[in-house]
Amino acid sequence: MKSKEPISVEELVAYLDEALDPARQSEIDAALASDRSLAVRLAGLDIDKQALQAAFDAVAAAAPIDRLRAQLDGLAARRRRGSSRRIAIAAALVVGVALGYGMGSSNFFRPTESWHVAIADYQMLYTGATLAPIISDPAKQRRDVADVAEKLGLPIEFEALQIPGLDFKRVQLLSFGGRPVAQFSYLDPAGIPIAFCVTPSGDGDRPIRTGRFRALDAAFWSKRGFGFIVIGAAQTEALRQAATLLAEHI
Amino acid sequence: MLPRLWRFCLVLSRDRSAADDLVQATCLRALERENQFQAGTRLDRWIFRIAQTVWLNQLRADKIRRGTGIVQVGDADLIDETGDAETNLFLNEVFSGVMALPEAQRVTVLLVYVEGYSYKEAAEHLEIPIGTVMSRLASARDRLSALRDNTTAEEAKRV
Repeated sequence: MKSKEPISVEELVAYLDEALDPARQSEIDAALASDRSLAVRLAGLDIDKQALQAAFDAVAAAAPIDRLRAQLDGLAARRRRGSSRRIAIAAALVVGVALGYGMGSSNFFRPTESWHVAIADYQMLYTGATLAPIISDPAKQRRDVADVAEKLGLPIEFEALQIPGLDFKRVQLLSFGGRPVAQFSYLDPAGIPIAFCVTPSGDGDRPIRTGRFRALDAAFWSKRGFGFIVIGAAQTEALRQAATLLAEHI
Repeated sequence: MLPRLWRFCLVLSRDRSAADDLVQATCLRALERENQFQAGTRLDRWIFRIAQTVWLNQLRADKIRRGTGIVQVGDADLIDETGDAETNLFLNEVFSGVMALPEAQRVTVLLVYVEGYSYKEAAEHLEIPIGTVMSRLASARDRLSALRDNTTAEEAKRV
């Protein structure tokens, strides 16, 4: 069956983008079932949108944030005596925090990657000696985990935090960009401190990736609006394994 | 928001240092024009609009005058910090493919496929008819899918 109207290339693009009205969408569906040349034309326009998104996410992650912030800090400082809205805009530009009411539900202010960097900065201050003196007390840890999980708004079982080869030392509640960050601290057999951190990042689901923040290797992912990271001066593969295990249970 | 603004500026300018400059000029302009921001609308899109205007009115001309208008960032090492090597290679190809598109097409691709603008929103941002948004996307898809086919063919040869 041919569709009633000739199908333009623009319409095929809109079809692929699911931007047509439903009637036209089903007309093209029907035409595709019978018209091989149309299917070929359509295939010629198909692109991997997920890969596109992933590529551009990676580019955003590579933005020279520190340098830009330094430039903008100066800019904002010069204008600090402006109106409250001006300060709000400057703050959003520089710090990347939410502005609250009136500014839309944009995720523009969400510190998409920068919380990873903040975690890395903090984790770099840890040495084995920071955690070694802490005597693991499972009963207390269990209570602390339940408490932090509640504040975080994500159910996390104490058992889910147990990683073979890593000694779970403690959990702390931190904050970044006005959002809670749960930090679970571990020591590996070589005495290297490793942290597992969780925050409500609002990000879509992303599988585990590995990367480097500051001088630390990390494995990070996101699920159900929460961002997760396992970070430390350990082998990437060990971090990835820990991440895989944690992601299975949380 | 800075990473996304910088990325937008990079797509416009195809040059990292021009992107830095454009981010700064955009932020300055946003602060100067804060009275024009309408509460309840999206601040990110308002700022992207400013970036676009600053680029068109000011920096693009400067960049072309300086003779750096053809700098390609496509093969730069932007995507090399996360993920495994093979994935990075692929993502780099995708990124390079988009960056090799003419400016009108690559900014439209960014807005619609990366930033999630509807056709109508992209048309408003770019001040062009929706039909033009669609034909730009069609041309971009045509080129990008050819790229994908080449990649697939090369992979097939390697096997």
